[in-house]
Amino acid sequence: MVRSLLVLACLAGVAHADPATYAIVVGSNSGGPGQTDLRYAEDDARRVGALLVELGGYTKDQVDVIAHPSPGELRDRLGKLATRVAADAAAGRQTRVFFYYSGHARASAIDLGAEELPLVELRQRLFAVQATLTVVVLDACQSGAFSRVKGAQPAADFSFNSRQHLDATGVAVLASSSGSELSQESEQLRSSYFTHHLLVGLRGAGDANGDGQVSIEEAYRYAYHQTLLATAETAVGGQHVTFEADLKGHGEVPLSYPRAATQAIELPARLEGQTLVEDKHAKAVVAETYKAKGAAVRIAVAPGDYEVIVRHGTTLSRCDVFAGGVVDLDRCTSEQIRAAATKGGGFVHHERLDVGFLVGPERHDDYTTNLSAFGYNEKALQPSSGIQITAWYQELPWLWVGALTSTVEMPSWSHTVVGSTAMQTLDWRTTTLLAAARAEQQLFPNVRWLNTLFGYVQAGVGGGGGRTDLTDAMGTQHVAWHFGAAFSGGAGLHTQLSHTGLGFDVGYQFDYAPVIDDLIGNTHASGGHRLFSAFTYRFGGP
Amino acid sequence: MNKRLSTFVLAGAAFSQLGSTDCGQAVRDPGFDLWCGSDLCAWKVERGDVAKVATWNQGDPGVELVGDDVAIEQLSPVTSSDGSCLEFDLIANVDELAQVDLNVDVFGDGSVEHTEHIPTSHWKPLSFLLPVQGVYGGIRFELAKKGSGSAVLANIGAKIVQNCGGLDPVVPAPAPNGAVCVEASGCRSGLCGGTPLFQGVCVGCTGAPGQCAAGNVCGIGDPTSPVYDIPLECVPGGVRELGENCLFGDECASGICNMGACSTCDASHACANGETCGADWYASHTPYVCSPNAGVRKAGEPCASDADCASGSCAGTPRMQCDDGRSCATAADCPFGGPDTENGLQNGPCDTVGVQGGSCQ
Repeated sequence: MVRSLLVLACLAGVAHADPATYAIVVGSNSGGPGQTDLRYAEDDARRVGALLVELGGYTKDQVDVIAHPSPGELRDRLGKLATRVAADAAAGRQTRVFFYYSGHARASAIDLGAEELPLVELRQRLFAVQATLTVVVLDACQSGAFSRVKGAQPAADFSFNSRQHLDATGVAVLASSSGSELSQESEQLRSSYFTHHLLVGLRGAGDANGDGQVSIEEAYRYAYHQTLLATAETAVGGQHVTFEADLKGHGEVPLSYPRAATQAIELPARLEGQTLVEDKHAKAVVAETYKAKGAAVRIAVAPGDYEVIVRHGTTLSRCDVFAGGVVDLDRCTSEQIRAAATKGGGFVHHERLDVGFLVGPERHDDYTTNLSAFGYNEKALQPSSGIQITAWYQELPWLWVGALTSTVEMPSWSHTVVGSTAMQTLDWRTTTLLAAARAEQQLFPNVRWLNTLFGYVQAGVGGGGGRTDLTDAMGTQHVAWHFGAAFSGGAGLHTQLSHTGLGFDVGYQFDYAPVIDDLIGNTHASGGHRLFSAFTYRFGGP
Repeated sequence: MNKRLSTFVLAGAAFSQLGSTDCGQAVRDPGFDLWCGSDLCAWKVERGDVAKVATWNQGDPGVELVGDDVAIEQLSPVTSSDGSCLEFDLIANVDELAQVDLNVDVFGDGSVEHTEHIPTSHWKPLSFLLPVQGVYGGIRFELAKKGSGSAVLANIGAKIVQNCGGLDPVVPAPAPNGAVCVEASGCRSGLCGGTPLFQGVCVGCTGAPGQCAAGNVCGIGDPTSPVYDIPLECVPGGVRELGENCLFGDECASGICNMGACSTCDASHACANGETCGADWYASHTPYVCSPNAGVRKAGEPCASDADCASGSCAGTPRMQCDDGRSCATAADCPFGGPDTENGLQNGPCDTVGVQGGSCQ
């Protein structure tokens, strides 16, 4: 997934009287050639725009939210902005400009659907806006390249951007990833990682010094840590937010003023854990942060009802709170954690033990044909059956790896000795030990009563041993062991029961274990079509 | 043919019509699974040596024909009443230096009517059909190997099936006395006893005058095969000992044949001194003697059991006989499917029932 967010210029400022403020907020889900459409870029743009109005000191008419524009439309908006800023400058007014872009990008351009806008041109047009302070926020792949276009060097980490480097005037660029990284969206957050954490920080979680406003430096520090933590365990890998500035003067550059918000949720000092604030009506995550013990955190929110979910250890606490309230931990409900996925697509690895039962007809092949030629008959109406035990380790949210062992009793073959009561009987069983892998996919994630149902496909390869036990006509037993390769594959359904580690599997399995040889050159591949069912128990974290 | 002789022949014909298979299987132990020590239990080694060897599994033996000239055989009681088409299913491991044949000897009289060559194979199943023409009773199956090559036989099944698909049938050679027949031409003797409506039995004589040489009479001969009835033929007169089978008194040394056995008394020859004439053995064919098992016979008097003698000892040949009364040395001499056997493919018991031609000590 590729995601790019570009935010440009915001003038921070309440330092001077009545500066003119303007924001252009752009979101574009559409991908260019070879790019998959994004899902949340335009939503992120709307959220950024709303936050600027709610907490950033902008009025609605000062925030221009543009969804999936063409390069021409964007050029037009930037041109009009430059005209307005020039007029303000002519009138002696200071101006602050905030530019945000969320969408696809390459190292040399942002992708607006099938068309591109070169970063060089975007830079030129933004710098042509002669604002007192310009803040650019880019949420896009390789968005750190914007800074290199500008000529600055990327910071190795946030320490570069210490307070003394920030001034009240100039240009600051906050980019969601370095020039060589991909930016990522989160299905769970329903947002990009970067924009989500940037907004949470701006709502108050990033207010490190507790002065009631979130500076660009605080926002960067917060977004840097939270984005890196959230993406560290994703398949794409850690995503490093970058910050470049060319500022003059002294003083902080505030981006938001959560203290001034009319409504806020306060996380008390003793609350500790991964904390999620969800708008109950919109079903949207407003904030997601790790709340450390020791200091209260205030998160500005719009009026409404919220649920605060706190995960600490293996306990999940749910607290209903109204905007303007304080989370009362004593009135929260608690439950054991069951979800495997955690923020940002990272997850807690689980172990699982499956104990199941296999049944199905035994395969017929040259070996069994030979048994028939020697006068043996397969016991009627007796399928192969046995048990299977699998120990799984969850390598990825969708991938389990482990070891599988099964032992299956096959139908006996026998024949009476004509003219006597004697009988010869072949009893046999096969035991296998396989390395196995299983891919699981939640089938109905949005259906409450079915969201614990997973589909799976699995495969295994390893070795097996077959035991034959022939009782001859004189009653003597002849036991032999045979060894060889073994394979297994299958598909089915898995359900994980809520609030417990218990689960259940049911599915189809095909086993193939060519391990049993006879003395005249035939090999029986034990196995065949199997119906599989198992009880499962999941260990480990939430 | 007099009345008693006709009765004997009809009884023999009825005996011969009893089918003998195990659910249609005509060969006992087709998989060579039953071993009595180093010998096969159900098969007889005619010549050469055999060895027990593993086949597809160590626990499922076959028989290896060891040497350049080896043959094993088995006499099956299968009859035309069971069916006229045999299906053979073979599986063997025969190398190129061995010539293995399956010989089919209808009636088991030593004349091989059909030979099926078992080709060189490595455990390849082989199947073929063999129709048999006319009535028959008993088939001897012989597996013979010549040559230095290895030959291991794992299975030779022979079962009765309904249809042989128009194949040319095996025509049995004329049968010996005691074998089943429907017409005289089917018998070596040219005599088929019984009636045309039923299967008859080949006989050597019918009791008609002049059929037997001087000194001989038409009577019961010595049994020759468990698949034949006791033969009716010309036998020396007046030589059967007390306890032997007979048809007429002139076959017996005592001149008395009572209930099929040479006896010392019957309705026409009453016992002296008020003694009672009765059966001496607890068997189906038993001699009748005066005061049987009463311990009153004195030394030198004829006896059929030790219990007859005052001394408690009756000197003579131990009488061993099958359920049908014929004399035997082993169970293999007795007809198949007796009451003590599990099915029709095993010979009936051969039991010691008394003393033949004895005299008290």
